[in-house]
Amino acid sequence: MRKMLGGVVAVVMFACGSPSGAPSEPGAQPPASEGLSLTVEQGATRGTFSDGQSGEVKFSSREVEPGVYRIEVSLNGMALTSLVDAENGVSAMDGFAEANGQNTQMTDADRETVSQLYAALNAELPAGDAATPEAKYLRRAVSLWSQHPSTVEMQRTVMGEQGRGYTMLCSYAKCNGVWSGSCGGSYNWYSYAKHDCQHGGFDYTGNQQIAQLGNHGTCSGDEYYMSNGTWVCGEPDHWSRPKVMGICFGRCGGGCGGDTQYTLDATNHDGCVRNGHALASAYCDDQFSSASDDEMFAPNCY
Amino acid sequence: MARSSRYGGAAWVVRVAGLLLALATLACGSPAEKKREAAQATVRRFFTALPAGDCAVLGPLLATGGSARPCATTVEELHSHGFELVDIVSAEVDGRDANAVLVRAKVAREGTVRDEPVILRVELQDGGWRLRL
Repeated sequence: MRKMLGGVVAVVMFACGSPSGAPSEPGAQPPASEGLSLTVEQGATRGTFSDGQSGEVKFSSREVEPGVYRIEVSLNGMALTSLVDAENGVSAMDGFAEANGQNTQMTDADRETVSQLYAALNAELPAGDAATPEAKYLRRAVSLWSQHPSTVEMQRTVMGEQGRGYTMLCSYAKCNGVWSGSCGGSYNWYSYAKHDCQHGGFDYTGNQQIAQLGNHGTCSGDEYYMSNGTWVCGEPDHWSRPKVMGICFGRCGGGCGGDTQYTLDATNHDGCVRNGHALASAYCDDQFSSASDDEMFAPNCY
Repeated sequence: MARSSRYGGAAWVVRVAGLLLALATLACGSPAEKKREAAQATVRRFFTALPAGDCAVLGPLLATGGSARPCATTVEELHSHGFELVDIVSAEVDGRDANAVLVRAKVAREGTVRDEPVILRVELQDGGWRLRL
């Protein structure tokens, strides 16, 4: 009987185990050689990327039916997928653990890696509509993943329809008659970029900016804001309706990406993440979600 | 008959093994279930204690390192935004990290419940389950 009880205890302990277990690092890979390897051909774009520190990123985008693109990115043990129906403005996006197909979460390290991939793609791919459709939708999906907040589900459907899903603000991206370069003191202000957060709602003036949209300068990778009549490099932190400009304010994607979509939701997202909140701040979740369809489906302004 | 006596012992072993397995299942959930329960308990404890704002209580429930900020900063932000836990929708072990649980929670800001649940990450640190905010 004692042996039997001992057996019961042993089985129970084995079955319960420890909730901790040994730390696991699924997806850990040796660093790959640094840089982007890109192949663009009829109907498909694919390649690899490494920042020289983390494991290799593999990516592909191919047309699986006319106007429908299958995008896959593999990094850090995670698979990111998107099926984009460009004709109908619908995209099914997902992200999961490659080893077991279970749900996972976008982490800071993942965002950093995807952001670097996005920058590399922007540097190599032709800008705007000059890129093939496969390359363009790959770039847009990668941009979305590079900004994906940890608190938002990886599996989601992005649906875009102009006028309902997104509103174009192309005209505000021009100043002094030009899409890029100096405004020459002649601005075309958009009022207001808005967000809501712990400081207040959309109507709180500290959550609003008066913005010059477009590619009109940058300073050390940052934007400018007006302080006492002078343009200062950096970002205001919940000032009351400051004037801001630079690093492609209002453009879909982080900074100046390869596409030139200027939209209302992207402007509001920039108004949140460039106003004292981190790119993946939970306070900017709703702006990110609203801007997702803009990024995937809005046309380029030029 | 010979067949019966020969396999009688094996049948007894199978029955005992089945009984042990049933006992084990009853005695405790699977390791994954224990993690899920522990993570959900951490989330509930944190948000129950949040209104008082006492970092002596809240601090040990928060993950440290990485992008984590000091407890007081986190609590101040959550307070100023009127952040409340409404309910926990589900919890699952992160497919890439056996020492992290993703807790889907309905939350409210300033009394308004968000339509979409947010994903809260709870990590095993120093033997305890801690919320990463």
